[in-house]
Parts: sequence; structure tokens; C-alpha cells
Amino acid sequence: MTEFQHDAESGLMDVNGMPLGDLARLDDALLDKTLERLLPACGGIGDRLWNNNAGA
Amino acid sequence: MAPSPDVHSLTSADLSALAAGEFPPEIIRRLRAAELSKHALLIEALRRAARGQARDDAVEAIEAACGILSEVQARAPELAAEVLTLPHVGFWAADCLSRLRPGPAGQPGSARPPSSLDLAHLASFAAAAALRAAYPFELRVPVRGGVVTLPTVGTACIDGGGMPGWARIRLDRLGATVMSGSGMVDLPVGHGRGSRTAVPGWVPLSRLRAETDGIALSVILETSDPFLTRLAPPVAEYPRVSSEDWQQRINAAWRILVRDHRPTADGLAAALTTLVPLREPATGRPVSATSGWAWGAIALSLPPDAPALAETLVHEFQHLVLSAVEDLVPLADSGDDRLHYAPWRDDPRPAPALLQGTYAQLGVTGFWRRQRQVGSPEHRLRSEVEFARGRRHVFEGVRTLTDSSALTAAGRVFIAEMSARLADWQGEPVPVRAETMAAEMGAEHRLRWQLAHLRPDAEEP
Repeated sequence: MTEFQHDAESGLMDVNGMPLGDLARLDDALLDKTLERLLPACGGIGDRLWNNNAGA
Repeated sequence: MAPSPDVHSLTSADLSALAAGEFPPEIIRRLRAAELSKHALLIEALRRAARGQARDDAVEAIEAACGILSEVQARAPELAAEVLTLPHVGFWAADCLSRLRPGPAGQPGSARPPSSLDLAHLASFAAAAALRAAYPFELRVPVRGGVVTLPTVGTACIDGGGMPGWARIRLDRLGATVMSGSGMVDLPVGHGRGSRTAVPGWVPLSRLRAETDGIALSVILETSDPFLTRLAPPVAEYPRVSSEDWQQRINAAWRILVRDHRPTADGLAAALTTLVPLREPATGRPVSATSGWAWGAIALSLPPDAPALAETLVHEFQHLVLSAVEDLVPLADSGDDRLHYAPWRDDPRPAPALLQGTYAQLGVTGFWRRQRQVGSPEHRLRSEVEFARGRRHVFEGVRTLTDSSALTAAGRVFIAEMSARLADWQGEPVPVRAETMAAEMGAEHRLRWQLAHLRPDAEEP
């Protein structure tokens, strides 16, 4: 059985169980890499809107 | 520096199950956990970005809110997780962060930067969590339009002339209060007091609950959150939203889903937390929407009958599932800018959007396929036509995606399972009248689309 994920650098880190306060210890570069994939610089929240008024 | 945490992932078996329209609670639970991670990371990224770019009052509000949320996480982890997984959190954080981050090539973004009150909305989540956990605290929270919004709790009408500003919210041994200038509202929450108690200036949260055969759906009817209500405006407004109308329609739709579409009902029960009621459109055709940033929320106008509401929930649930999957695993190349025909849309679509639409169509087609057998006789022709149209749509979408070379390895696993499900349906007989109507509608749409988008001297989009 194949396991799929984004690569280790840009994948969605599992931070469940970590208090929000502890996330300050995360490496800047690692967080940036994740965000670059999740939220590209040119995109806003409209990028992932599925609106069936337009047919979805 | 902390070691790198593990990364959320899905197996090929997980992808196949979801593509086949099975939504095992264990997989939905993992998708939900991944959304919680996403929200926590967005909050942390926003905290770092605000330190460099926002005013001191916003930075202080974010730091204070993170501190309270961390305390609630320690004392009531499940409650904190419930609040942090809310679609309100993801939509707010992604909106603010996208407006703080630079545009392409490091240029300033074109969007208006978030205000201090926008950024401080995190304090509203922290206050709501602390109130529900009965954890003593004091925070500054934003006031907009004269109200303080406390997600999952209610809204306090503080007035203040309707101008945006700040209020102070506190929970101590004497109770909970919100204060701003000369205005003060005692909150009927915390210390065992019910949040629905009628007190001046307090509007409790509106919640819908339906239960059939022991399977319950419990959702917030959200009309006041300043961010989530932008999901697909215009939002219906209090008191024009009749929660009784919604409750009756939800009861009937939920009965249909639990009795005849159980896998989807199980998935919805685990994933759906929030409905954002939209105003009825002038066209009379119901509208609905979801966002990959607002996992667990569906915005929709009130459909005309229970089957239509059930269909809308199925359609939008498919989008929610695929959005969460794509947060973990890329299924289509987002950098592939080729555009394709989608039989249910008037505009050409890139591969990732075509996959989203095809998956939604697959869910809806499965819904009408079953409704042909169990729906009322007066709805039988409608079910047959919708099934016949839907399988044509899915066939076209699957074929286009398969031929596009835009799919990743995981995307190919996903589409193969969708294709296998469709193959089972292709041979099922449909009355000639329904098949003819479906074929005519399909041909008419394609012709209109070609007239709008194809040029004799241009490459096909």
C-alpha cells in the first residue's frame, strides 16, 4: 500500500498535541515552505472557493 | 529549534475509499486532525507576520489570545481543538495571512492589509474557548457594527455607536461581562449558566440539530462572524433568517440522507459543523458554496425542498472532502495552466478545479441514482434525468483528466477509483425520455460553450 503526502519539507506538519505557544519553536524556513504550498504568494482565499452559482 | 514534526499523509487505500464514495469515520477523523494542524500553523504564521508588519495593538491582542488558547488547550484539549478546527478560524487566518504576505516576486500584495481589528479576531476565538471551558481570563476583543462576536457562543450587542473598536471581555468568579465605553453586557455563560438564557444585549448562537435512526447532525447557523459570512455573500440577516424554516428542511433532508445515503450521512455528521445561510437569489435557483479555507462550513440559500437540500449537502460535502485531501496530498498539478471543458460550467477550467467539479458531480450522481429507487413517484423523472446527466458529466470529466497528464501519482489512484465507480453505473438502464433529455441538455451546453470559447484560429482551451 502506497503512502502519499507532500514532500517532508512542504508537507502538512502534524502539530496536534502541541500547544499554540510551543509552535514558536518551529523553524522559520520549515513553516515558510509549508505556507508557500498552502498559500501561494499570488493567491488569496478566493483561490479555493467552490461556488455552485457558477456551476462549481 | 524543535525537531521537525511528522507530516500528515493518506494511503492509496484511503484515497480509493474516498474516491469510491465511502467516508469511514477513521479517515474523516484524520482529515479533521489535519485541518486542525493547518489552522494552528496558519495562526503561528500570522503571529510571526504580524510581529513585523502590524500595529502594536494587534500584536498584543494576538499574543494574549495565543496565551489564553494555550491555557485552554492544557485544561480542556478537546474543547480547544473543537474551536480551533472551526471553519471560522481557517477562513479568518487565510484571509489575513494572504493579505499580509507579499505578492509575486516579493512585490507588495495588491490586497488591502488586514486591520488591527481583523488580526485581533483571534481574541474572539480565545474568549469563546475560555468562556466554554470556564477558564478565568480577560482579553481585548474587536467590536464591529456594535457587536462582539464569540464563535460557538453568541454575540454581545455593545453598541458604541456602531463604530469599529475594542471591548474588554472578562470571566471571573462574579461571572462574564463585555465592556466597551459606557456599554456593558452580562454574558449568560460560564459557571454552569446556560448560554441561551435571555438577557438584554445577548444573542445566543443559533444551532440546528437533526437526528434520524440515532445518527445526529449538529451545526451552527452562522450569520454574524465577520469573516465566515464573506464566504459567499450575501448572507441572510437576522431576524430574516427563520431558523425554524431551516430546522424543518434539515430534518427532512437528514432523514433522506441517513436512510438512503448512509456513508455520506456518516461523513457529514463527522465533518459538517457550520451552515452559512445565504439570501435567496433573485433567479430562484438555489446557491451554495464551500472553501478549502473553511473546512466544515457550507454556505447555501434555503433549497426549495428536502431532496434539493440533501443534494446540496452531498455536493458540497464532496468539495470539503477533496479540499482536505488536497491539503495533504497533491492530486493535480496546480502549475498546469491548460484549461478544459467542464459540462456543468460555462467557463473553461484548470485541471485541479475540473477534478473538484468532477468529484462533486460523482457524489451528486450517486445521490440521484439512489433516489431513483427510493424517491417519491413525483420525483422519479427528475431523479432519472439527474442521474443520466450526472453520469455523462462524470464520464467527460474523468476522461479529460485521465488524458490531461495533469494528475499526480495519487491523483491517478483517485481518478481510477472514480472511473471504476462510474463504470458500474454506465450500463444501468434509464428511461428513454430521461436519457434523451440528458443528451439534449448536454449537446446544447457544449454548443453554447464552443460558441463562447472556441475560435477557428486558436488552440482549444
